[in-house]
Amino acid sequence: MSFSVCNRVMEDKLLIWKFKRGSREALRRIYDKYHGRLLKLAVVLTGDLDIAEDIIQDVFVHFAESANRFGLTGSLNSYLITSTLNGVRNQRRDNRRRRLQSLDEAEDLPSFAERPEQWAVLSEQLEHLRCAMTGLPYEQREVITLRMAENMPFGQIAGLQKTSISTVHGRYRYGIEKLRSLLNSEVKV
Amino acid sequence: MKSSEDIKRYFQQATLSTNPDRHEAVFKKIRCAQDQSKATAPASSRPHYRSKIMKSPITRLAAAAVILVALMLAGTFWEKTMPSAAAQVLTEAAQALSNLRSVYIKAQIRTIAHDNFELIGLDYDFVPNEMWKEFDGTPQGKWRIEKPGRVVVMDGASSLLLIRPNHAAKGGIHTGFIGWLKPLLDVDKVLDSEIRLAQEQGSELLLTHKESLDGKDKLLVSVEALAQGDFTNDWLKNKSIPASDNRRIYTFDAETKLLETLEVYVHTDEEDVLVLQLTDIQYNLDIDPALFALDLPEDVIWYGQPRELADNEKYEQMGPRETARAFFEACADENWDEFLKFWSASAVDQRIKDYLGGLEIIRIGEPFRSGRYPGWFVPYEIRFRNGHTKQMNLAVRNDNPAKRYVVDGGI
Repeated sequence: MSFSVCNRVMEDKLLIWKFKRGSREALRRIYDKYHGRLLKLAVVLTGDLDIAEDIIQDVFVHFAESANRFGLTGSLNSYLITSTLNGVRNQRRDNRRRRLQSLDEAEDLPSFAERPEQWAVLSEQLEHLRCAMTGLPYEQREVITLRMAENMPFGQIAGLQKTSISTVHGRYRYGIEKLRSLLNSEVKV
Repeated sequence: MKSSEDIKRYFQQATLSTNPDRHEAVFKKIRCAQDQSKATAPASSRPHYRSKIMKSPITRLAAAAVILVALMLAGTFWEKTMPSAAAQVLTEAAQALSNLRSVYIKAQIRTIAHDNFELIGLDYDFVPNEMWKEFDGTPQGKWRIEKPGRVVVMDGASSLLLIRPNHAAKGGIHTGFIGWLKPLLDVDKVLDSEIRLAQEQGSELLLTHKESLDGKDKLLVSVEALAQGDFTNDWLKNKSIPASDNRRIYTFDAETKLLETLEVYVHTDEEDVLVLQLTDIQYNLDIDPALFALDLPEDVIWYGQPRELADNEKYEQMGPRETARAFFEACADENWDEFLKFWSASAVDQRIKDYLGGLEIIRIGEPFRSGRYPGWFVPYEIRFRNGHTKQMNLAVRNDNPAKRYVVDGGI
C-alpha cells in the first residue's frame, strides 16, 4: 500500500504540528480544507448565511490565536466542529438576550455591518435544507446535522449535547420524521 | 424522499461555493490573528529543541535518527515510507520498555460490552476497557483486562474468563480470550509485535515526525495495515482490528520511549473511523494482587472444549449446515441434552432456554467462510416463540479434540 494519498487524520497531525510552529501555509491549508464544511454546518444550524459566516470567521480567528494552547493529541476535525457548535450556541444565546431587551435598548445595539459581498453562495439543495431545518427544534437540528453531515456517532453527539444516547436517538428519530415531511413539501425527489 | 439514507444523500449533495475575493479577505484576518498571536507568545512556550535533545546520549541518538529521517522525507513527505527508520525507533522503544514493573491502560473501543474482546463495530458506541499488567520477571507476567460485560485474569499460571453474570471459561497463559488486545497489553512487546507484523503481513511503518509539546519531545509512528484473511465474503470484514484496513498511530515520549497514546482508525470507502483510543496509560504503579484473581458466582456455567461423545461419530460426520439445522431443531424441541452436544458448556442457562426454546426454523442457508476464522458461517432465519424473527450467520467450528462442529457464535 502506498502513502501517496494520506488520510485526513495523519495530514491533520502534520498540519497542526506545522501550525504550532507558526506556519502560515499550514493555517492556509487547514482553512481551505475545513471552511466549506464548517460553513455548511453553521448555515444549516443557524438558518442564516450572514450569521454563519461571522461564526466561522470567529472560529478560525480563535483557532489562529490558539497555536500555543492547541494540543496535538486531539482531533482537529472534532475541535473545529465543537468550536462551530459553541459559536452557534453562543450566537443563539446572545440573540435570545437581545430579544429580551426593550426596543429602546435594541436601537442602541450595534448593527451588523453590510458586507460588500457574501462569502458563499448556497446550492439550491442547501437552500432548501436551510429552510427546512429552521422548522425543527434546535437540539434536533444539531443531532441531525452532526449525524448526516459529519457521520458523527450518536455517543459522541450525546457527549457534545451533554445528554444521554437515548435522548439523542429520540431527537434524531423525531427530527428525521419532521425533516422528511418538510423536505417532501418543498422538494420532489 | 423516504428513507434517512435519502436525507443523508441530500445533505451530502447540498453544497456551497465561496467567493474567492471574500475568501481571501477572511483569510487575511485569520492570518493577522496568527501573526499577533506569534508576536505575543511567551518565550517559555516556544520549544527549545537543542537543549532538550542534547541532554542525554539516548536522545542525541534518537535526534540523529529523526533528523536523518526528516532529511530523507523532506519535500515528498507523504509519498515515501520509512519502515527501517520507524522500525529503528520502535526497537529503541522496546528496549526502553524492558525494565517496566507494571502498566495500567485505559482505552475506549467501539465494541459490545458482553461480546468478545476482539469484536469491533464501526457503528458501535465506545465501551471502556481497562488493562493491568504486572511484569514480575516471568515471560508471561500477570494481567487483567476488563470491560463492563467481561473480565479475564491471568495469574501467571492460567487464565480465567468471566462473562457476566455467570459464564466462565479456563484458559492457559497464552489464552486467545482477548484477541488483538493481548499484544497491546504486552506493552513492552507491542512494538516488536508491530515490526513482526510488518515483516509477516506487509503492514507499513512510518515515522511521521518529531515535535515538542509542553516541553516534551514526541515521536509519532503510524502503522498502515491491510485486513488479514479472505474476504470474498466480507461478513467478518471490519469486525475486528486484524480484519480491517486500518491505521494505528502511536505516540511515544522521545526520551523515555514510553508509549503515550494509541489511536486505531479503520478505513472505509467514506471515512476513517476511530475504533480504539488509549485514554490513559500509567507505568510502574503498584497493582493490588487481588486484581489477578476472580470470584466466580455459585451458579457458574463453564464453557470448555467439547469432549468426545459416546456417539461422537454421528456428530463428526455432520457438516456445518447439518450442524446448524440440528442445533436449531434441538432449540425448537427444547431438547437441552441434544443442545449441549453443539453448545460446549456445562449447563444451559435459563436465559438461553427462554430465548431459544420453541423457536421455528424458517431457513438455513449455504455455509461460507470469511476472514481468517477457522470455521464456517451458516446463514439462518428463525422465528422466536414471541413471534420476532432473526436473520444472522451461525458460527460453527470443529477444530477441537472431538472433531465435531460446535456453535461458536452468531446467536
